[in-house]
Amino acid sequence: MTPQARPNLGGLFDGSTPADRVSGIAGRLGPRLITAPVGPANESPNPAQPAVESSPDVQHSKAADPMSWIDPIRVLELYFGLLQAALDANRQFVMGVAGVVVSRGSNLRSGLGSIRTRH
Amino acid sequence: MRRVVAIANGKGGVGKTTLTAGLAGQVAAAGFRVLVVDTDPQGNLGRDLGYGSGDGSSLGLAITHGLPVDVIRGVRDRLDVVPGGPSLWDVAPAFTSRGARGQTLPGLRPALERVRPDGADADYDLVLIDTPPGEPILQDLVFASSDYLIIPTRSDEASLDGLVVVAQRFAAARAVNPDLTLLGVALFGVRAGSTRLITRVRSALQETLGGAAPVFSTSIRYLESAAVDMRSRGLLPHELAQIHREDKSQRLSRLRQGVKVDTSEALLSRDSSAAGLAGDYADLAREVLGSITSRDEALRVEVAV
Repeated sequence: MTPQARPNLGGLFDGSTPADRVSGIAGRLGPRLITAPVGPANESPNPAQPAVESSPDVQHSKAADPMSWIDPIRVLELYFGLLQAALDANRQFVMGVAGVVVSRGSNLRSGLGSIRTRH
Repeated sequence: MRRVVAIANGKGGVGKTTLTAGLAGQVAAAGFRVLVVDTDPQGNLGRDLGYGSGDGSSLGLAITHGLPVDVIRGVRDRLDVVPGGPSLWDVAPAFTSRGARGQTLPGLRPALERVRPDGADADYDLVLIDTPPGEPILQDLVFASSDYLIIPTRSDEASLDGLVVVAQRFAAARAVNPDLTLLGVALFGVRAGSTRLITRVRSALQETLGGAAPVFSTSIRYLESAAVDMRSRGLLPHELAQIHREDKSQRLSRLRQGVKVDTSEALLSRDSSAAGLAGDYADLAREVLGSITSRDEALRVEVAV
């Protein structure tokens, strides 16, 4: 919203300004069936002291604590995830090298075997 | 004694349904008995509170024919719901056609007055009514049945236009229900930490209201990720914060055991954001209850004098 001239709606809300329309249901509602409230009011919790409490986490979040933006568990998960990825990559690389060495070794052996047979 | 509070604005998308669900859940969690009434033909409240959507026919027939209304009991502890749905589109034509023939209809108030908490002698402490933005007859019915009105609004100009519409409707409703009182305006969906924006919008709203009602000092922050988490799981803000706390300890225990973390089911929101959002609702609920109490006391003093 920009600070420009605004309509003053206060009169409509406090009854000092009449509405420019009539309620769509005016004169169309039947009589009320029940008028008396049921149940003693003092059976309810006291609304004067509402028991809506903020949890400690909520109160903590109200403070401008930059640490609240860091999730230590997420950091740990990322660290272990990275470590696992590095180990997986290392394992794949070593297994690949081992595979090449084993297959070349086997080719070499079979090559030497065929030379020996010819001689 | 129950207090009936309507949540309304002439514009859609300003947070009426989300605010209704969040406030109801918070007040019920604090130990009060709460009834939520969904008068919106879109019936979106079911997504926020996590119950199956209905067609609203029971509420529609209660309004037009005085039949007993169906109540979904125990949606949360101490929280019951009268569901809305597409059948509520039929209410306005019924009023028009029967009104033209000079007939009267029962309306919403008698339907709700018959609803009582299951197994309790006492009444509901709070009845919250979610309203549709573009259905004048349904809004008029809600205003005729309510003690108080809360107007949620966003920080844009279009939301101010919605405020003008609801002000006209409010003034017209006072002819039918002179006790209807504006409890306050709640700023919804602002970025956390936008202090300057909040101050400016609050000042503009106060100027517009001309002292007729307060702008609540608590504004509800908007968090896309938390909104997605809550609607996809049918969670309320304080429940999402609780899930985050439980999720944190589960993830820590999985790390200790060396079990690989499956991120496909992970929450999109951050735990600190969810806790902040839950805090907003707790603060607003406290303000709303405090405001109702002080107005009730002022009324008692007025009557005594």
